[in-house]
Amino acid sequence: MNPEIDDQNQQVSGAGPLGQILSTELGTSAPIEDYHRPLRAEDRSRLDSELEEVERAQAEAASKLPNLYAG
Amino acid sequence: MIPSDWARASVQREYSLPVQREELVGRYVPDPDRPSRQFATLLDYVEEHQGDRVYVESPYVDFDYRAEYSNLYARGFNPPPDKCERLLFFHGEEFLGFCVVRPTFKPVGRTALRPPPALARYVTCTAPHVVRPYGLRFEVKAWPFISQDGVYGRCAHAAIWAISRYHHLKHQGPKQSLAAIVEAAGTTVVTDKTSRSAGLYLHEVADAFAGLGLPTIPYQPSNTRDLEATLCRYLNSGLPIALTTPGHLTVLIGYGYDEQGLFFVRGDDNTGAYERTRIVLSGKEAWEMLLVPMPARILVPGAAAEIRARRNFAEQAGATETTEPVLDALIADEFRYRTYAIDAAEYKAKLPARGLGPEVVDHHRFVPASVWIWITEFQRRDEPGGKRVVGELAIDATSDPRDPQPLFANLPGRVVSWLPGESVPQAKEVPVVDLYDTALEPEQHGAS
Repeated sequence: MNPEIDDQNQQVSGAGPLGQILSTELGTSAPIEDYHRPLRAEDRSRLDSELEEVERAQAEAASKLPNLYAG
Repeated sequence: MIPSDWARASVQREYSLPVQREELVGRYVPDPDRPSRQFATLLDYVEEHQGDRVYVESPYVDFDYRAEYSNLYARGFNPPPDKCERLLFFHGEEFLGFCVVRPTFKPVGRTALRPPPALARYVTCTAPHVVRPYGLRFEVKAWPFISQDGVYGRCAHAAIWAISRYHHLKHQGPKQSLAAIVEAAGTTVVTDKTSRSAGLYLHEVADAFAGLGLPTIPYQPSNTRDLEATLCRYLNSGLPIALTTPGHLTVLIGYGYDEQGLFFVRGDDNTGAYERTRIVLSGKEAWEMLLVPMPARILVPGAAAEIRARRNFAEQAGATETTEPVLDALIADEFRYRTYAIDAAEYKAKLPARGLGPEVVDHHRFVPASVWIWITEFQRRDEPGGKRVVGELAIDATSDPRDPQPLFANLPGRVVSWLPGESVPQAKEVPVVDLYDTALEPEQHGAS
């Protein structure tokens, strides 16, 4: 069941699901600026602002730990 | 008054329900002026399951009660018995769960009982409990429950214990006793004086979780954007949420929808493991604070993971002409987002059953991932069934919460990977799969 790995090209031969998964090709790389329709700067900025808001809200929540919970 | 034959092997070993319910209550809650709401609720759950038989395991030495006993009760002049009795509930041959009964004012100790039928499908936080009485083996999936004894532990201790024990059973975290919780909260000095616990301040609750290996993410309900969606993300992930109301601490363990809208399932040590509740932002029952204890290595909050997933997914949707319709659909707000955290190995194991196509399955299985990942599913709003996912994106749960990192994604006709050490993603074309199954249960449709 152990797949055999060829040191030269990292190709995997052998039967079974593990050999099949290890044969996976991940494709090619391309900078996102070169994409067919890059994400608009304002959309990216809006989502990044949402992320900062999450961070801010949590910092504020962490500062409020005053109450007693005795059940 | 503790029965004279407490924890002896000669006790009555079997009760029939509902016929002998009062006898059972009479033994374990003997003072009618001091009823146990938890014990009554427990028996109600059993009867909802048509439980017809209760077996008594006696004596029973309980890990948790012994911790309370050795740290507090044993220091008294006339301590209660050091042993418990364990009740095993059945419907015919079907095991419903168990309850360790303590010889204390509040008798319901460690308990695991299958969620009642009306709420079972909404409870997302259940863990397997195995018992081995008399050489037999029984298992039940349940939320771990314990009532405070009102002396060594209070509601906060009970809630922390339940969450900690859940993570022990579900995610192989350490097994902690109430004594460990008292110590982790930094309140040992109080109980060392053999005095009653006065409860815990919220910072002590947070310290206790952190000390037990479950650092918390705090939320202030009145100041949390998309509160419902925030809570659903964690519950979809099987991550329970500690909820504080004025003077009380309970645990959210599931959610669902009824005719009044969104409700939550809550474990409350004053009542029982499963009760229905709703968001309340003012008044005596107002939700004051929420703490989400995270298993180690989940550093990114659910909201942050989802926001970053939306950005990365939108970027990839614009990559080629093939994927461009997805970008148009995103802009037209045709998708809803469903986000959950999961162990990466578990996620990969479940992929083949979801109709993604073998190329996508092999791709996602091959790409290296952190132990815990956040998955955001992009689902068509107009598809009511389970087969409604257009694509999904994984975020490294161990990355910087201010800059969550993507791992891999699929959208119709394209798979993408972000490999460690690589500055740009790699991608390739795959056969188009229009819609495939969500990994979430039908009830986990969440809010957004």
